Amino acid sequence: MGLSLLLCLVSNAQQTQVSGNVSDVNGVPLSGVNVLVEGTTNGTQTDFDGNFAIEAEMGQNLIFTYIGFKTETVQVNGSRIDLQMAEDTQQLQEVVVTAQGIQREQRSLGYSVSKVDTEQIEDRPEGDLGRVLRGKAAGVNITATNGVSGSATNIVIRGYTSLTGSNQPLFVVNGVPFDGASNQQNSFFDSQTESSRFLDIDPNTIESINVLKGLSASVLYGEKGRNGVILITTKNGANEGANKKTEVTVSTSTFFTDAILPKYQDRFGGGFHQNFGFFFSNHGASFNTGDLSNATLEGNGLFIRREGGTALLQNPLLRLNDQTLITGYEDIANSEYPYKPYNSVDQFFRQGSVISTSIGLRGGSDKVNYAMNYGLLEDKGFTPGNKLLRNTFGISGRAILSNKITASGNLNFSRTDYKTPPVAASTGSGTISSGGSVFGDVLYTPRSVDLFGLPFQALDGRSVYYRSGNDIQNPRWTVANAKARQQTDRVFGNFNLSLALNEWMNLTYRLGLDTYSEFNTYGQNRGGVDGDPTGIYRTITARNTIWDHSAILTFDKNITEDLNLKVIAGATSRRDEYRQDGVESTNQIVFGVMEHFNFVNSSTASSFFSGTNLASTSEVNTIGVYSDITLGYKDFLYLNGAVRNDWTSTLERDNQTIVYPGGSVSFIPTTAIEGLSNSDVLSYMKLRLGYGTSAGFPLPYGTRNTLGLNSRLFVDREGNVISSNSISNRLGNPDLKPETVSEFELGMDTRLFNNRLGLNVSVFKRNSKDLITDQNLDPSSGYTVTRVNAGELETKGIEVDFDVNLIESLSSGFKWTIQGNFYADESLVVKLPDGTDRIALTPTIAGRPANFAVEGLPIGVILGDKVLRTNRELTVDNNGDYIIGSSTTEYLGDPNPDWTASLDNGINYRGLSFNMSWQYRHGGDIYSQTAAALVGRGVVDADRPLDREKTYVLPGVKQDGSPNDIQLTTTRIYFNNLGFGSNEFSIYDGSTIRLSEVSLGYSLPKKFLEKTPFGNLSFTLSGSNLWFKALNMPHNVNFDTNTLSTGVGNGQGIDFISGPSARRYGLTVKATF
Amino acid sequence: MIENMNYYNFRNYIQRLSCMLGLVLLFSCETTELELLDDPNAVAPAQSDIDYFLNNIQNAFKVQLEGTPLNTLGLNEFGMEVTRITHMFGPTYQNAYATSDLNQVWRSVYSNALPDIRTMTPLAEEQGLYTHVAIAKVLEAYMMTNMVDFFGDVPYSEAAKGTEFPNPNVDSGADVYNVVLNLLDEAIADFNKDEVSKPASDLFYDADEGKWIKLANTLKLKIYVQTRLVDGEAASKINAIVNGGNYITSSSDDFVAQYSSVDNNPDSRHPEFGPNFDNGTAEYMNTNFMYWLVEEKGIEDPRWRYYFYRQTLQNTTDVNEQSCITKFKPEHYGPNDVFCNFSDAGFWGRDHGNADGIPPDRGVRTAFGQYPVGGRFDDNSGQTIIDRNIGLQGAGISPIMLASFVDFMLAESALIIGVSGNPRNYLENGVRKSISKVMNFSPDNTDPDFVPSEQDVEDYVATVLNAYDNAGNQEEQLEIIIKEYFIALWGNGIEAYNTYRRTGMPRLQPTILADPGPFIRTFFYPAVFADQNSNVDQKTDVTQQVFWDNNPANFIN
Repeated sequence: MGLSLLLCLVSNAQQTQVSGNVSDVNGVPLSGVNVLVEGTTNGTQTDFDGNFAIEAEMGQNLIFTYIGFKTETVQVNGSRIDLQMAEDTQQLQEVVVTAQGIQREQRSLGYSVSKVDTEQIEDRPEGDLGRVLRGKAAGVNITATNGVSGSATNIVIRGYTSLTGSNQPLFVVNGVPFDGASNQQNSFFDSQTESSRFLDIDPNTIESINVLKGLSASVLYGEKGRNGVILITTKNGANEGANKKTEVTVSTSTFFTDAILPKYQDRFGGGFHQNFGFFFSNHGASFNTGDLSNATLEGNGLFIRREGGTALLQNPLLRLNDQTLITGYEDIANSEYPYKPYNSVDQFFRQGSVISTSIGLRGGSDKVNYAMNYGLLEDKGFTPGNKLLRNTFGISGRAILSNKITASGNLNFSRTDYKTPPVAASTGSGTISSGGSVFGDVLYTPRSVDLFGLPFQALDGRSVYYRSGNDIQNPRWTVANAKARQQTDRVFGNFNLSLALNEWMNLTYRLGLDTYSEFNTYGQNRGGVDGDPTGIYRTITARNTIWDHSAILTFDKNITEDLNLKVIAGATSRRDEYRQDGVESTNQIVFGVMEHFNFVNSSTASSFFSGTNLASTSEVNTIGVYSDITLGYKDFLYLNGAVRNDWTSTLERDNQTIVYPGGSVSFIPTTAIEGLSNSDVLSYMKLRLGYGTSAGFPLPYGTRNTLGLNSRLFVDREGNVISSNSISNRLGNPDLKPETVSEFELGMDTRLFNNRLGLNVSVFKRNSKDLITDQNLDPSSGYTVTRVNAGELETKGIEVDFDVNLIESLSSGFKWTIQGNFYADESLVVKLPDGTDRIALTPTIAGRPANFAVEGLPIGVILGDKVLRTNRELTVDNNGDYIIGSSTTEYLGDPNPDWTASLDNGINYRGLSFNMSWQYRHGGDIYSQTAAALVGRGVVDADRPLDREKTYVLPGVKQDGSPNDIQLTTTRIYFNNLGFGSNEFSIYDGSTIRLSEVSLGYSLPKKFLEKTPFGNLSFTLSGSNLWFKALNMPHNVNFDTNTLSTGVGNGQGIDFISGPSARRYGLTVKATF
Repeated sequence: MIENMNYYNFRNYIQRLSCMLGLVLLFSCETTELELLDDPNAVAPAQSDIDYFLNNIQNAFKVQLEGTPLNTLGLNEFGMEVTRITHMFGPTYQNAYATSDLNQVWRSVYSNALPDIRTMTPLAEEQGLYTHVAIAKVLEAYMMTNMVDFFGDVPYSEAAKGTEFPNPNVDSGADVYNVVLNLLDEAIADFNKDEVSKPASDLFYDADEGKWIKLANTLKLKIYVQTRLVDGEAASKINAIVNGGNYITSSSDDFVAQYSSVDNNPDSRHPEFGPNFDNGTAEYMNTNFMYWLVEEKGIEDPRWRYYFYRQTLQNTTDVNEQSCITKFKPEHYGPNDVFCNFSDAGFWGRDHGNADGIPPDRGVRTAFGQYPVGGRFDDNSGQTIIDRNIGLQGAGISPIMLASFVDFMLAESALIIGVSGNPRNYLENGVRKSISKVMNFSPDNTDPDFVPSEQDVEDYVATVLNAYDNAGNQEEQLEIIIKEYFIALWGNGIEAYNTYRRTGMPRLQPTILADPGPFIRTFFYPAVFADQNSNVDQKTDVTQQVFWDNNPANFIN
């Protein structure tokens, strides 16, 4: 009924044709200017050359509106109107892409959307989109999972919404969903090297990124959008801006990467209690002849003689218990071994390089336009054996088939090949599990070990190292013989058909397809020490497909002169298919040949701790219908309401649907109240209030009981294979329902002092209820885990963005801008399932701390063991060592940073530009095995180092309460108590200041290029992660707090020696033709 | 008011719209299916198989005893370590084991075996598969006895009932013992029923019901011996079984779990084998236990070459390899307590509660031998073990309940509570059966030059009996019986741990720390139980005693 009333307003009287051209004050044509006959709904837009034609009656007024320009009204006096429009600095009617690809004026939004432009993304030394985004938007927390190029990246927006479910955002590329997950084939402790699949996007092809953080912004994406949405528009996806003229852009960059390594001490070498020995630890004798412990070398069984004060020792090869290892290395074994510091770790890492090239091409005509791009990234990491090679191709086009139908589409292909040595978690005494680690065994190499002067591989291929039992895998052997590789072929794209039903109603059908296949391999030749010494090779092929169908009806109409109504109604169905298959072989036949035929045994189950069947499959369907209604009044008040209903295939019929509403208000007082914006103080102000809800659906197959089948449980002595079936440990919960999230957001966007200062502030409060939680059960119930709806989580936060035009001198061309952001949040686990004290978010390995959800505390708190307290004092035992309490769930720290901030400086002078970005993280505790191991093993000095040749008393009391007076060697203090004693000594405050990006660019003046084929030519020197300091960690460790050993998931602030981070710097040349 | 043309156009649009939506739906039937709830990665409970259930139950029992190759923390390892048969790191009893160390044992019984037994039993009874039912009952009885022995009061009546009791309460150990005795009687009755078919695979007795009945009776006997301190009628109950004669008396009836040498897909070797031999030695032998077998009696035990394998025939002189060699014997050690090394012949172990890190010791410490782990016979070669292709390659056994054990239990019972029979005879039988079991374990994989002769065996037996005959009193006699029992128990920590708490014997090497805290009378509850069960609190310490242990608080250490 309402619709037909609106239709009544349509009038189609015959009129005269008015045509003309619209340009800006400089005469540059403006395309897309709205031209409307006043008092009617009759309107059109200017074309690419600024031309328009419209039917109007003489004497009527034409209203010209264009975003960022002052609205002009011109009376029709003849058949031609040429107009120059002036920029409107007050209005700032920036258009942003919001949910479902709908473009909206910034001013009409009742929620905050962070926009990141191409300049902030392209030509960066990092090829990983996630890492490029770090610090670019308030409230987006991005962490690398380890130090190798191509490793996964964890992204959490506005804190956590779910306890054991995913908190990773939804990626939407050119309007259709894109899988950004990391298909982890092992638990992190067994070596996790898989990439995050957003690695398949070349950041250089991105036009813009909009981050929808709040629920009122993402409600149209349904439950998938509850963790925030990263909306990516690629250059070939943004057809609107394409020129008629064909333009080619070529940019090429070369960067270098260096590992940021600890600062090792060079006074003491390997040993224990200041006695030299080929130990793991570096608590041996001094290298300096003046030191007491240096004199003890003479008494050592390995001592031969001195030369110039340096003690010469027997070569460690001679002490290997298994002398078959040194065949062929007898000359080395018999050589004298100088006891001195070696720079083994520095030598181990190399200078990496990144070569990146991208080529873009755009062109078209009025009706048809197209774009193509190609990107190449070759990132050779600083870790030997690590390399990432990526080729991306994209093509897109748009055609206006008739006046009513627009067809557009794009198709992208990417091929990613990524290799790395394994990176299993290390506890500082080798890896604890079935995988090797390139970092775990190298970073605490004792100073006196000459990694590059000793062989690493025996003639028969076995690993050789300095310990007599040969019980650590030589890191060089790891590089040569252990590899993980992931090769991915991916195709993604979309197809859009848009039908303009009339001027104000549009129907769009969109098909999105995103499919990739990953070929994962993990292999280690026989002869290793970590993991299976017979050799292992595992291949897993995974295929993931997302089909997304969408139909959207949009309605946009001025009901009266002052009242605008925008309605969107849509229906969507999404299908996710995942399937993987794999084989694991062990017992290699010919050394070095890594193919399944070269192995004796093969299995379809992983032999690793976390391993189960290598094959798995899942399919999930989600259907949604939604509507969004915005009522705008006079350009200063906007009311928005949205609702979506979802159906899922992961829940039983009674619980498979949920409806969630949202709404927002935007009010611009500077427009509404005459005179308010005329002051020099306040140029523009918007107040906004948003409320949004969302839901979360569980992973599939949690509602029904299953029966586990183990085809190979045991093989008896006769070779009979015994199979078994067993009631699954997961108790199915047929009553499982979706979890719900709701959020209030209040914000203010302002521009002050003649637009010199922009300040946007948002505060939000988010509540998740009925959290879908994998609840561990007491196994005596018969089951170990079930999925329940229980628990409540609350997150409150504040986001501030600001920008300052510090100096802007149009005459001299000098411009200095500063922009930055600030983010702080506080989470609280309000409630857990009845009878549950805590829920583990990450597994506890080898007695080390883990993240937990505990009622009344922030999410993810780190729990572990503590020293026993007597009258609140640390307690020592009869030997003078701390006694570790029996509880492993003592509170140790909160890994959530108190706040984070970033500050960018940009200076432009004529063609020169200089940019510098700083980031700061305040607080957030970190459990650092790296710091514990390096200081505990004595390779790195603590901040105020003890004199290693003296003895000390640990602060505390004996069990009877009397003060401790038992003297300990520094080895006992550092190794037994601080490094490898109670967990509480390995927790550090993670406050870090970082110089995240610096760039210096020069763009050649146009007049120089006039006689060249170039349209633009620029050179940029840039660097990332050039310097950082973790303020409250042992300084010499140089630990990068932006690391997370637990992989993509809900862990935070947990480090198991997953490697140093990289400093990157280099040159980019960019040209357009 | 609507103009005709526009109205017509609009209707047209609607038609096109529905057409388009129809297309979407047509092409996406697959994408709108919402009934995707059965996990394609598993089978449905209705597809179960009784034989396969029984296989899993048998395997879960083995996991309770020995752990798995990836985690060897089974009850035998805990039991052997606290009783100084193998080395315990400690350094104190309170912190010797993390509560999470016990999780696997808990899961193996409660979330692995019991739900399968509960599901299988009615289905098997329906199909007349009484042997399946009976074996499951015996194994359940054995597992629950072990749980009581190690943890005290444990869930049973509310266990494995899923949503009905998500947080099961504990039952008293005595109540669980009573249930266990009933289960054994029921099992015997079920074995005597006519079954439709026997289990396809019985990993213990090859579906020999006679042997299973003997085991059931032996378990009852074991329970009566265990409860003799709190049950005045224990002697008559034991006599009833002895007089019945239907219990394990011959090694052919020994209840053992057998492992094979298959190292892959899955690793089916003795769970201790892989961790100790695939990548170099892992565990330490206990110095004191080796001393008993090699030195203490002045005559070598015929079994030691089967129990231990020396990788060097000389002890190290490098303090970096073995830090105790420059240390003095702790003051709290008695004159007869060995410390560090007792000889210079390569018996390289560790003292009880020595928690030092692993030094660069070339990995040549003394390793497990041929029996029962399936390693190598010690032929004085002193060769370093460099890979897994040694000895029996892991085709060992778990000695769960042997005829020799029964003799030692009867020797103790005859001596202390007057069970019929001569304790000296039981002792002699126990020693002879044990030696014979070990020496006949895999005679083909020994070196005849070093295999003890018949005379060596006779000499050893005579030495033991001579000591017994010269013992001054009943306590000294019991000490001799229990020490021989301990030696025979090599590989079985459960009976060692029980016997130590029941008898306070034998005298064992002290911990390195003068005050290691009170001995573990029962273990802490596993973390998964104490943390996940809201009805249960963790024990404050390890001094809680199991119901059959009414010995004084500090009588063992």
